[in-house]
Amino acid sequence: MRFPRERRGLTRGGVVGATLLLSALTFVACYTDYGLTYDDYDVVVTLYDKNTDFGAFKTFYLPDSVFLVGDTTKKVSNEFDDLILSVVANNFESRGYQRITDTLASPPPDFVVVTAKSTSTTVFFSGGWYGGYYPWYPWGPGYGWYPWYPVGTVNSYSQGSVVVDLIDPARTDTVNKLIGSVWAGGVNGLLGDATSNTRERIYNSVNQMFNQSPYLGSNR
Amino acid sequence: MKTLQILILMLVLGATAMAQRGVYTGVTWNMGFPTSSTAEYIDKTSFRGFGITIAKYVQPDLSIGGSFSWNVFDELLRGRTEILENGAVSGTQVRYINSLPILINARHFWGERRGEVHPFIGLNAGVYYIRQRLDIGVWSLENNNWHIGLAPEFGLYIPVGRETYLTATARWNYAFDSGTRLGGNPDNSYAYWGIDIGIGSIQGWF
Repeated sequence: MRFPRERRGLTRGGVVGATLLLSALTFVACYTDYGLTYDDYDVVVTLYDKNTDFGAFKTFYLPDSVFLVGDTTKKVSNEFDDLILSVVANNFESRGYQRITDTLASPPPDFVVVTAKSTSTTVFFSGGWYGGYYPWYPWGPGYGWYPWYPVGTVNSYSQGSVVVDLIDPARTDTVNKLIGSVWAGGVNGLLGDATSNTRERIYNSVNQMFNQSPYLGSNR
Repeated sequence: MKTLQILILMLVLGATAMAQRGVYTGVTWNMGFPTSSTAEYIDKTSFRGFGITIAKYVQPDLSIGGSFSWNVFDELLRGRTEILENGAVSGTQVRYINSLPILINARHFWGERRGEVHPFIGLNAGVYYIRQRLDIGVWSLENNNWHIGLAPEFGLYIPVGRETYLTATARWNYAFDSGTRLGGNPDNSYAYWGIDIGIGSIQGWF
């Protein structure tokens, strides 16, 4: 290839190129704003003990309260408690489990379902457990769920969480005052205003816990 | 970000203004087409990228130089459920890869005369700085690593003026497995095809 005569100074091509580059630099940005809505921030996580035969369970007990965990000094609305409890109960019942309401029933239920809620400006994590035990019921601060990856950064938005636990009484450790959770579902999302359809988001998210847990279902 | 932009702009303007004999300076708009493990994370074509190449002709048919480029890959995934070893997670995900290769390259050209189209083949080698990020819910998980990389390429210089060429390059970028991994990702290598279209100037007589 032969090249044109040497000519110093900014060429026309250079000017065009620099203009193109400026346009490109404006065009390129590390991260895209997709205009996400409130429900785009809802995440549903479920974890379970692979050694548990969920088909062997038949009956369950569900306390009629949604416990407040995390920062218990904060006021948390009870507006959605009934919704949470009914969606949870319906899902277990639709999978063949029979709900028992008598706490003195004999024989006792095969498992206990506990629901909890929290609001926080930071997410609360209990640390790396699963197939392990939660602190003795009722749970205090520190109880929570965690995503499947180590967390990088947590943005400081006001968040709400709903947690559902399936407790196997057979795994209760009375010595160390621990009880075993063999399945846990957690929903975490942004707290929004009336336009954020909180009721619908809770309904969909709690249902999603069960949709993504196909191993739940009684064989008996 | 603005500092980076100013530095790059100064680099190009300076290199162009002070160009010496047989020096090619070019800028490109870079598109990216993920393949293999990169496509498993993001399979959406990237139209956001740019590159700068500066090269010296050591022979009439051979140039040696370097390049810096930046490709942004991203993808929005709604209603997605990831199956885990002992569970599952669902939610809207936004996935990103920012790939910044810093490469040296050698290009072999065909074509004898100025004013002709000059096809070339080339090989790039160097490092890739890759920022991988996953946004899900309010969480942002980042994994940033330096990788050794190779990028064979072929393309064309198409003359449009006395010193100015339009350029088109197809480059297969491969960044070898390196550093930490995001989640359970078994392979931290990256691969994508780049189609780079741009404009360049060759100044001076070899």
